[in-house]
Amino acid sequence: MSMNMNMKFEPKIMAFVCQWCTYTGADLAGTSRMQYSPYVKIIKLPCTGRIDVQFIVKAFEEGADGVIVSGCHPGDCHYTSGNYYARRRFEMFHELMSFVGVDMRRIQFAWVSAAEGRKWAELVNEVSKRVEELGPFNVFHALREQANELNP
Amino acid sequence: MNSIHEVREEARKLLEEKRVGMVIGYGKGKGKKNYPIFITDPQKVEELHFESDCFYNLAVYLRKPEVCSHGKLAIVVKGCDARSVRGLFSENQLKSEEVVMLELKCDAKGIGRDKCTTCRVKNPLTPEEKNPIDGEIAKILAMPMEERFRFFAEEFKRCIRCYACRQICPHCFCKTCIVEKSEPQWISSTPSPLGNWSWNFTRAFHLIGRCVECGECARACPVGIRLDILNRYLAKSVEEKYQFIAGMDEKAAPPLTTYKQNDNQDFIR
Amino acid sequence: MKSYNSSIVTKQGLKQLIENILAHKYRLLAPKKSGEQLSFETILRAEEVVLNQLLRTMTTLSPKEVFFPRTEPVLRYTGQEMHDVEPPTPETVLFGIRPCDARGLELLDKVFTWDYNDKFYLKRREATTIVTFACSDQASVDEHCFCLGVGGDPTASSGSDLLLSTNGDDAFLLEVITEKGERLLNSCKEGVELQASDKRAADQLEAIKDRFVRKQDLTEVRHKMPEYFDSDQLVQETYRCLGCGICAMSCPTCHCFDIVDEPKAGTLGEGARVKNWDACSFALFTKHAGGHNPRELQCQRCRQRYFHKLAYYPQKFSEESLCVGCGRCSRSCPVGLDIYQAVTHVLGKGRA
Repeated sequence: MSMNMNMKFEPKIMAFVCQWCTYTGADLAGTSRMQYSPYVKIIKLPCTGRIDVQFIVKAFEEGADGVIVSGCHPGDCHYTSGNYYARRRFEMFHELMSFVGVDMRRIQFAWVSAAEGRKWAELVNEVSKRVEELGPFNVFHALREQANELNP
Repeated sequence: MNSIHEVREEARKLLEEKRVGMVIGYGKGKGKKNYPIFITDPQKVEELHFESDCFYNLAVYLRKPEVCSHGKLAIVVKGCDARSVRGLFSENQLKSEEVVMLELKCDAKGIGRDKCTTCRVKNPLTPEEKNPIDGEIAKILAMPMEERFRFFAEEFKRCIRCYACRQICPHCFCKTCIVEKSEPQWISSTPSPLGNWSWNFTRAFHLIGRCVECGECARACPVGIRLDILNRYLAKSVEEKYQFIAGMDEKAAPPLTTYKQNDNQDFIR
Repeated sequence: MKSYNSSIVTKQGLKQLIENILAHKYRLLAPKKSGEQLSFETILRAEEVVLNQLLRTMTTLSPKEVFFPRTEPVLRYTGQEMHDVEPPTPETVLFGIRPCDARGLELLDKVFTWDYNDKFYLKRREATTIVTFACSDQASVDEHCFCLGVGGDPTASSGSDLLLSTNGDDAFLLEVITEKGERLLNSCKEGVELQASDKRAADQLEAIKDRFVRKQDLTEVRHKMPEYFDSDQLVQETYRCLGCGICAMSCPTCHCFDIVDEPKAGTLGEGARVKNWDACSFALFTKHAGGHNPRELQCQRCRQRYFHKLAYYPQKFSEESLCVGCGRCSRSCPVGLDIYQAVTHVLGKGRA
């Protein structure tokens, strides 16, 4: 990721969201014409319980600089308990990621309900600003570049 | 059981009375070397040994089809291996009535591997209270983030994808490993820095709440990747966060298959 | 007849030779310690070559990787367009491999040329000069070595361009084996004192032979192996195999590979077709798309490797077995499997 000094770094941020709460919340932010950072790319999934941590790893493999994972508040899951399972999984994911040296300011978990359009916009802005300040995820991108230069 | 003689006697009885079809244990090679042996003939129980260098975690054989075809099995276990067997029970990979454990005390000194310095199950049934302090983990935690990342990336770069870590692990019991899936392919099977990172990261993640810290993965790794540090750290976290120690209680639900409504969510906005 | 082209070179002289090789911009590869491992790495400074170490310890992985990397692209694609890939072939000196490894390369040459000339392998072979170290140190041979039993020789020169061996405490014997070796030596010998000698590494053979624990001859087993294809004893010997690929990947002559398309991460429609090491011990190696696996059990996969080494290759290519007796597979096997022990045991020649 070479960057011209004059060019502004535009982070790539992936958001994995549940379709019932956060996606609808993001929709609300849109229909309410709230302005928020354009760096985020949303992928809609049925439930946070469906979000395999492999998605997050893959996002970084494909060049993401930051990741958002968001779904229904505890107690509000459309499938009753998907987000409870997800919460434990993400807690351990958080542990492992930081143990292997991934700066966890690049990954944000959140609960955003269908009514919280404003919270969604704030969340995206906050993460975008933070990742922008952190700069590109160079240590990880370096692995990718080495992999693309497979020849020894 | 306290001695290999008792184990042999028990194994002989089990085989004679046809209560098990096979006994998995340690045999003696030339010199000091030991290796896994499989006994079906009660006359041959004298071949069972237990002394230094019995580091293998034999529980891995409980899921091999050629072994399972012998019906009920008996297995010689040290503390760490017994945890594996109970872990397999708790994950419904084995039924407890299908396996007879022949438990042996292990002073971990003869084994003399790194894994033994942090062992808490020298006696299979009376685990010690706390994990002994783990210097290797402390060393990693003292590193700044980028240094940690480089440390593990360098370790993983050496990976040649022989998959010995997976093959030797009793808890890598998936019929089809995620790295073998190709539609879609989540993890590249090419031994490149990127695919290696994802593979080793993912394997560690998949062992959360399963790993019993037997250390076999690190022992088997031909290029010396310190997979044990990763797994021990996660086992420690699981214990701190969910008061769960893998393989201690075969009735306890593995931590990632359950939840509490008031689980920690400090890290969630 | 030309007398032996050998000379005595001091430790200092050998160091100078290595420095000259580097100064002449050769890529120098030699065993180097990284962590607990000894592996072939690019050497940038002469002092990185620790002679004592490479004489005493064998690398965990064999030098086949220099010619047949664990992964390499065979073509690249962008959308519908495909581009040939030329293997990078810098002039290379491979320093400090063992005679068994050098012999392994000669065996691989046959595989990579019999029906198709594999340019990736052959171009690298061509660009590489091989400086072998005979196993002449007291500690060069360990309890796993059995090259003598498979037609090898710890002082042999086949497959090498230059052959080094110890000559007393502080000096080495340097033999020129091929013209390629001679070219390397001629271009890099300034300041290296070479004292002509009529000795050869092979003179030490009898003394080295005594250090071998494993002396049984396996060269004839190819005739007997087929009888044991369905032997229960062979099943017993290999029952504990777990199906990792350490044996094949550390082997100097295992050469199976898998072809995979690797999309370039972060792009659309760009990527490379790569050739990766594979191993017959993997269950996926023979698994058919429909789900059937002709080698369903692990002991069958293990048998395949033993038979390929000791029966199939000799039948197809030469009288030689594909095993060079380096002992790497048994040194690294996590459950102590051992081709020598299994075969000698099963074939009833007594246990080593």
